[in-house]
Amino acid sequence: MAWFATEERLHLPAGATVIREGEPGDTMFVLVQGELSVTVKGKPIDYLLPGSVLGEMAMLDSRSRSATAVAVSAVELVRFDRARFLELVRQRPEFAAHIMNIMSVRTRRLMEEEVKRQRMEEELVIGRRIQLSLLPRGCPQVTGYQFAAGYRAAHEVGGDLYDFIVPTNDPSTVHLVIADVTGKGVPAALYMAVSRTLLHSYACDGYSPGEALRRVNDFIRQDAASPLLLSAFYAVLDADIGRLTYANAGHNAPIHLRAATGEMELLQSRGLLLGAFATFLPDEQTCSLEPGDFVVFFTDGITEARNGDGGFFDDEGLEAVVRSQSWSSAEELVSAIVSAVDTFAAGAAQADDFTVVVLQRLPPA
Amino acid sequence: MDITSWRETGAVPITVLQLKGDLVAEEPLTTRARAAFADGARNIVLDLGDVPYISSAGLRAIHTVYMLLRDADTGEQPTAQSIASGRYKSPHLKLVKPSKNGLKALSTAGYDMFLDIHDSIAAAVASFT
Repeated sequence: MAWFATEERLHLPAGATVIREGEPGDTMFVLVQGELSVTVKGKPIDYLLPGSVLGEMAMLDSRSRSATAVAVSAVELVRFDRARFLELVRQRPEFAAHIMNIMSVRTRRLMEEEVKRQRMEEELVIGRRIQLSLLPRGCPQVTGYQFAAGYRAAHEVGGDLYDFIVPTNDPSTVHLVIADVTGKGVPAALYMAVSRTLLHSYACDGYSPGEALRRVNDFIRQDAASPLLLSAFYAVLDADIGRLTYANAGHNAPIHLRAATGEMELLQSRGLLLGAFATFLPDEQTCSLEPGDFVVFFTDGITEARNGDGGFFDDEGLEAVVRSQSWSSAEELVSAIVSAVDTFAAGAAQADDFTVVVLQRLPPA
Repeated sequence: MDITSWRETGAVPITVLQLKGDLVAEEPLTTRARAAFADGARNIVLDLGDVPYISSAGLRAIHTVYMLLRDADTGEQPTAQSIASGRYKSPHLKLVKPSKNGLKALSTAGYDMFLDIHDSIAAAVASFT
């Protein structure tokens, strides 16, 4: 492209904004050296390398800039104003053809991206329906205990799952799993459905939490093509003796609130995300639940809820709610946590699913 | 998310990927890492100093980069036992300066069991053998 050999050169440092979305545009640029990141409404849409042209749309339609371009590295640009652009178009048909070719490529790409976006949107809706159909319709009724759950789906990203399994041959045992698939859409929903089915099967076969997670990992890893990962906390309550046996696969550690002391402890048990490695080595732990104790299981959508300033609700926010007062029921604590997250977010968009499940060992009547 | 890359020379050639912004999607990081890999990179430092938040998709992206480098290594592969006992850390992927929330996400997912986390790029570069 020899058209711009004698044109004005512009040198900008990394981080400089070349064009800004919404501002009036009366110049276009050819990138000679360096790299530019292009965003629309803060979302990256393109990454420009030397030889790329930007700002040409404003030359033709006289409207404001449709995107923002920021220098990722120091850049050298050739700048044309509208008068020079029109002069080049008149004098050099090959220049006009080059600009038309760029616009044609961009228009085709936009059309392809719109089709892709619509497909993804449809897939998200289908995946969400599958996912919601997997959630339990209610909480188990077990003498001496109360369970309560709160769940809210995010619009785009999600993948939370919680479930209760009460084996018919052992009704004093409750298996509780809370999990989060690292993906979205139909693949994540199907992945979740398979994991849930496997866990039901292993629970009914009497496997311990660690063994059940290990077997799910084995199954996941058999499908080497699967790029998805699953975090899961799996606990088994022996309601007769108030013992909780649990294992963790890369999930947030639940909070155990002791009624006698008011102290909180995390149910620590280390383990990698399921699907990350060919083998999963469970670290199985137990704890005793005394009358009046609560256990709060949750997904990262709770602690990573954000407010308008980008701040996180965080572990501290959750723990502050849990220890803020004496709770009369599991339902009351679930409501308080959901309400506190909503108050904190203050209307900011929910980026991820959130789930909270509370188990209470009831105090003596 | 903006990603800047450059090469450093330690005991081995090292590619630094410096991330800026929330790590909430898989593609930007994995695309840049695959491009670096295709260009010969076998040892990568991920600078997370300007990453306020790592979502589950971000965790998957880091895992994908880890697997990309691990699968190219013909040497001994890690086992669950060697990871759980702390005897294994990836010799090819190092992390630098995750934020408080980033570190929490990495630690919860167990990534600190197989990935070294350093305070500076210089320390990460020096850790390659």
